[in-house]
This record gives sequence, C-alpha cells and structure tokens, in this order.
Amino acid sequence: MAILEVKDIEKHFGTLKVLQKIDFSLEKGEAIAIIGSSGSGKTTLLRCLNFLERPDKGSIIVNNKVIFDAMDPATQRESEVRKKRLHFGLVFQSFNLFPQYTVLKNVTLAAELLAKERPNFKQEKKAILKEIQDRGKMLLSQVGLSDKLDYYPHMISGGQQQRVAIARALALEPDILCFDEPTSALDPELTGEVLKVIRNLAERNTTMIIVTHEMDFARDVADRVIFMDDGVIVEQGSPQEVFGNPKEERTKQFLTRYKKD
Amino acid sequence: MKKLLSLLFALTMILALVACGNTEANQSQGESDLSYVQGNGKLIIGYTDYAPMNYTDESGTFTGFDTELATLICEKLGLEPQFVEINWDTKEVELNAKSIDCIWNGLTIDPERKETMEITKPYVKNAQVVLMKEDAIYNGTASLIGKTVAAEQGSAGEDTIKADDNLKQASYVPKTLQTECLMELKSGTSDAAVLDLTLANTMTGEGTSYADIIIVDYLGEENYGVAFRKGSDICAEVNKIFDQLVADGTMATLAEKYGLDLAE
Amino acid sequence: MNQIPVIVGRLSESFLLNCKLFALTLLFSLPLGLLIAFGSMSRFRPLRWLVRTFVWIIRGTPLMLQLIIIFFGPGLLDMPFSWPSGASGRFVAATVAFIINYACYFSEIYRGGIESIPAGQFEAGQVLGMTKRQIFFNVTLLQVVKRILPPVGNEVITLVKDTSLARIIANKEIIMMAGEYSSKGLIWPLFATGIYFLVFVGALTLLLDWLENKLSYFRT
Repeated sequence: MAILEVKDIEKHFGTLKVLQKIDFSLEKGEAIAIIGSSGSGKTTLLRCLNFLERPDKGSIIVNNKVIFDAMDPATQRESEVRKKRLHFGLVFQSFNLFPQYTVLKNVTLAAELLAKERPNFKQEKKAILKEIQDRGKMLLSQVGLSDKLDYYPHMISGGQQQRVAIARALALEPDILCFDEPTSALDPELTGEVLKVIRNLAERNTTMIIVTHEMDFARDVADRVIFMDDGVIVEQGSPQEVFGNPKEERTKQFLTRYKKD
Repeated sequence: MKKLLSLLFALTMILALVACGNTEANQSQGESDLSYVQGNGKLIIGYTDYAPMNYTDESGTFTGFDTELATLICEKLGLEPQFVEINWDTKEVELNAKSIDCIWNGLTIDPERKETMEITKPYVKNAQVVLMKEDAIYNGTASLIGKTVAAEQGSAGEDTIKADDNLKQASYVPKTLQTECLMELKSGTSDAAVLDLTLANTMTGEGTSYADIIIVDYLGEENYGVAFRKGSDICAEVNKIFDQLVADGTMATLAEKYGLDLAE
Repeated sequence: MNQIPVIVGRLSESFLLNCKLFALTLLFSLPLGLLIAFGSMSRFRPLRWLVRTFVWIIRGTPLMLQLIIIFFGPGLLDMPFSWPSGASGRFVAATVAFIINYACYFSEIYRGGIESIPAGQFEAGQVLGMTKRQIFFNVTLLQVVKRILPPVGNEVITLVKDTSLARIIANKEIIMMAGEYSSKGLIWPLFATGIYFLVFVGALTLLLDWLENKLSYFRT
C-alpha cells in the first residue's frame, strides 16, 4: 500500500504555470529523489505537500485517506491543515532553526506545544515532558550532536545546524520526511556530514522525499528518482534507469550538463 | 490617489476647527453664560504669573490685585473661583474652548479685543511704557528704529509697537511673558521693551532684581478690564459689582495696597 | 540664597508631572501601538487603509499641534464632551494626545520588526504543526523584541524630553516652572532642569543597555 499518493497536482502563480499534471506515489520505507534544474517546480511541489502552498487542482492521499482535494473546501480549513501538516516533516534549504532556543529546545519545542493538547497533559505533565526531552536527546545523538545540546544556533556550523533541523523534523514522527535541497546552502566541506545523516535514515527505511542537486548521492541513496522540468514530471524510475538509461530527451540534456561538472 | 484623499480629509478637519474657532463665541444657542457657570458652581479664571495682578509671594501664597478682586467678586456671585494658569498667547482660544470662563489678569481694553470678547468697564488704569537700561540713550520712539524691542506675544504692548510708526521699524522680539522681556533687557539681548506700567512699577527700579532698568517713555494711557466670552451675561453682573465696590471704597483700598491707580 | 531649597522643591514637584506623563504614556502607548500595528498589517484592506492613514496623519503633524487640537477642540467645536476644568483636565488631555502620538510611532517600529523576521521562521513553525498564535508567542515575539529594542529605546528617550511640550496647553511641568524664575531674572533654575532630564535619561539608558545585554545570548 502506498503511504503517499499525489494525483494530478496543478499550481499556478498568476498566469505562470508552476506545476502541471503531477502524479506519483510513494511506498512506506521508500526514498525518492527529485532532481531537475532551478525553476522546474521541485520546491513548489514539496511546499504543496507540506501545505505551505495550496494546489489549484489535484489531491493528496496519505495512508489511503484524502487529506487534500482542490475540489473540496472542507479539506482546506486552517484548523484541519495544521494537523495534516504533521504527516510530513520538512527540512529547509536555509535550516530555519529558532535562534533564541538551544539546540535541544529547538528539537523539543513543537512536541512540547503539541503535548499541551493531550487530554492527560495536566496529570502526567512531568512524565510527558521527560519523554519528549529523552526523545530529543536520542535524535540529536543519532545525528551526532550529543555534545551540542546547550549551544545556540549561531554558535554551530551550517552543517551542524542542518543536522539539528533534521532531528527537529524527526521529533514529531512524521510519516514522510521531506528535504528541500538540504545541502545547497552549505559549504562543500560541510555537505558530507549532512548527506551521511540522510543516508543513515535511508538505511533505516525512513520514508523520504529528497529534492537535491547532489546527483551522486541521489543515485546511491534513492530507491526511485523523479526528474522534473518546467513544472512536469518528465521521467521517473529507479536510479539505474534514470541515470544510466534515460528515455526522454530532456532528461538526457539535463544529465549531460551535470556530468560535465 | 488614496494619499491625496486622506490629505484632503485631514485638511477639511483642520479647517473646520479653525472656522469654528473664529466664529465661536456666539451664545446664540440661547444658554446664558451666567447659568452655565452657575451650573458648574465655579468661575474658571485664566491668569499668568504677573505681579502685581496675580503672583505668588515669598511665603508661597498666591495673591495679587486681580486675585483678591476676583475672589471677592466670585463670593458675591456665589461662585467658587478656580484660578488656572494659562499661556497668554492662547488666552482667546482657552476662553472660547471653555477651558477658562474669563481672563482676569491685567488685560488691556482695546477695540479689537472688544470685538471678540465681552469686556467689563475699566477698573484699573494702565499705560504702555518703554523701558531701557538706565544708561541707554533714548530720544523718543524714533531713536529705536533698527533696534531690538521686546514685548509679550498677544499683549497690548505688542499692539502698541505695531501701531507706532517708529517702533514698527524696530526689530520686534516676541516673548511668552512680559517678565521675560525684562530678562532680555538685563542680558542686553534687547535694547528696549514695551510693557504694562503696572508691571514696570512693581518689578523694576530700586530694590528689585531689575534695579538698573527704568521707564523712559509713556505711550498712551489705557485701562484694564476683565474679559468674558462674546455675548456673555456675566459681564453685566460684574460691572454692577464693580460699581458697588467703588462706592463702598473697597476698590480704592485694594488699589492702594498694590500701588495701582483706579480707572475713572 | 535661602530660596534654593524652595526653588528646587518646586522644580522637583513640577518634574513629577513630566514623570507621570512619561509613565502613563508608555504604559498605554506600548500596547496600543501593537494593536495599531496589527491593524496596519491586516488582510482586510479597508481596515489596513484606515489605520495606515491615521498613522500617517498622527506622525505627519507636530505633537504640539495635536496637543492644541485635542485640548481645545471639544470646546471650540461645541462637542458634548469637555475636558475636566483646571490642571487635571489639561493633564488628561496631554496624556491622551501623547498616548495616541507615541502609539503610532511604536506601531511602525513594531510593524517593521515583525515584517523583518524571515518568512522561514514562520514556515518552520507551521510545518511543525504550530498554530499562528503559538508561532507568534514562541518563535516570532522574542526575535522581534530583540530587533526593536534599539529604536524603541530611542523613542522612549525622546519621550522624556517631549513631555515638556505639555506646557503648550499650560501644564506646569518643569520647564514652564523654571520659566517663571528665568523671566524674573533668575536663570539657574532653567539650566537646572537640564540636570533632571540628564539624570532621568541616564537611568533609562542603563536600563535599556541592560535589556539589550539580556537578549544578547542569541543572534537573529
């Protein structure tokens, strides 16, 4: 059973058509890499999944439940949308850590706020908060930052900040973890540590969608690759298929450009 | 476009205020000014710190000729006197806005003022005098052409300067208070000042902080009156009481106490 | 010379008026400014236009003029409302004028601060399932406070000095009081008022520096 189904998504900004006829599905435990040049709509697609943008047409189905349908306004109410966002986690290109909180607090903040909505929160406050703290520490150790729990974002490197961002996204146990060009804003020496963490997650069968320019990484880590250009999915398939034996002309053009670098 | 509209809106508001300020003081709504103040139980008296009319003496008591006179008359009218210190140059606005009910502070009577306010009959004599440092040279107002002359903004002294052909050609320095003009003379930033005789008598000459300032000329006699809003009926009442106080000698005693001359 | 304690006493008493005006203005204009800021950022266009026009008028005219309009306006326009007579009425009118004026200045500082926070902060909160309210109080607010502290501090210091404008509608604050003496030849009280202001602003500066310091543990 597909954990995520995206059907016929369309999005335009004014007269500009940014996404058209986007159709794909994702199995649990699968990692999909989305590649394509700038302006191909990859980031917009990701933002649509996280409800940072509203598609003009199409539907999004998670675990067989329609969580978004452009035709149905009931699925678009703000109160509902908030809960639906929790199906997805998003790691931003520019990290977006909260500067006024420590590394640990960055990871635990959202969970603590959500916990307040639990019916048993008042009685078991202490236990719940401890549970969240422990989970935060565990995730940070998973990304290799146990020694930086009390540091503030401005004190650590870009690569470290991005790793914190990954731990933060994982804290809410999303069904699908999304990455929007996670290493594009990093100095070359720092991309390695972040890619290592993502590779790690893939090996643990984390369901992921990764938008990236790191072709070699995509080839190694992804179970499937989607190539987008001009707002449409041009080709999709296994890494060997897309990288080794591209069918479409546009795909070939794109890959030759990258192979040259 | 939007900015233009809101600018016009704002301007209209301001013009409306100004227009009202100018055409205000018609009690033609019917309400009598006297019943208005009687309804409040008090008469709000606007004054500035101005010896010998309204001032605080060394012991810290608020006193003066006008202070005592006003208190006396309020008693007779059955009203509580409330003395409120104001800025002289906005006295007419204060009166029309009803933040004060009368101006009782050595106000010189002149035809222009009579047009915008209801003024009582004269009660104290005054003159506008020219003051300079005692070693200054003075040969009539002509000798002040091109020199600096100070007076209080909105005062009769200011009007005198503007009306005199020679003083018109002097460099005029408006001040907020008459007493500030004395400061100008003392510090030398003004050559001359045109002030009320009553103030000059009290504040200059031997024994005062302005011992070296003297009166060099008298520019016309005038009288003090108390000003109320245009059309006010309190005026007539006060006039009646003035007559009473002159008849029984109270006015004369008070005037002597403060070294003033009563009006004829 | 035995006048000195008396004069200092009167100066200090009148400075209390400046202080009261300062405190009341801050107390009400700081929150009112936030309300106005939200109005000027509203998605409801008519409200946004109305609020921005109002702010433009208040910031575009001298406070001195606003004092005169607010105090004398009701009486001149024959409004059913009038300020209480005497010194208290003038003080209330001055306070109202100051509150409105400073709220508008603060609102623009707040708006600038809020709009300067990168959208990414807001989006990060969103994807983590936070409500708008939670994002404002847990993510945005402290970052905004840190950013606006210098300009707000500036306005607060300006306010201290502006309080003496209340004398335009005959509030006997410290400079008007000193004027009473300077006009009679005694100049030192006028210069002494400077000391009061200096000390007050000095204390404020220390407080603002301390606040800035407290927020220096992170960088936005």
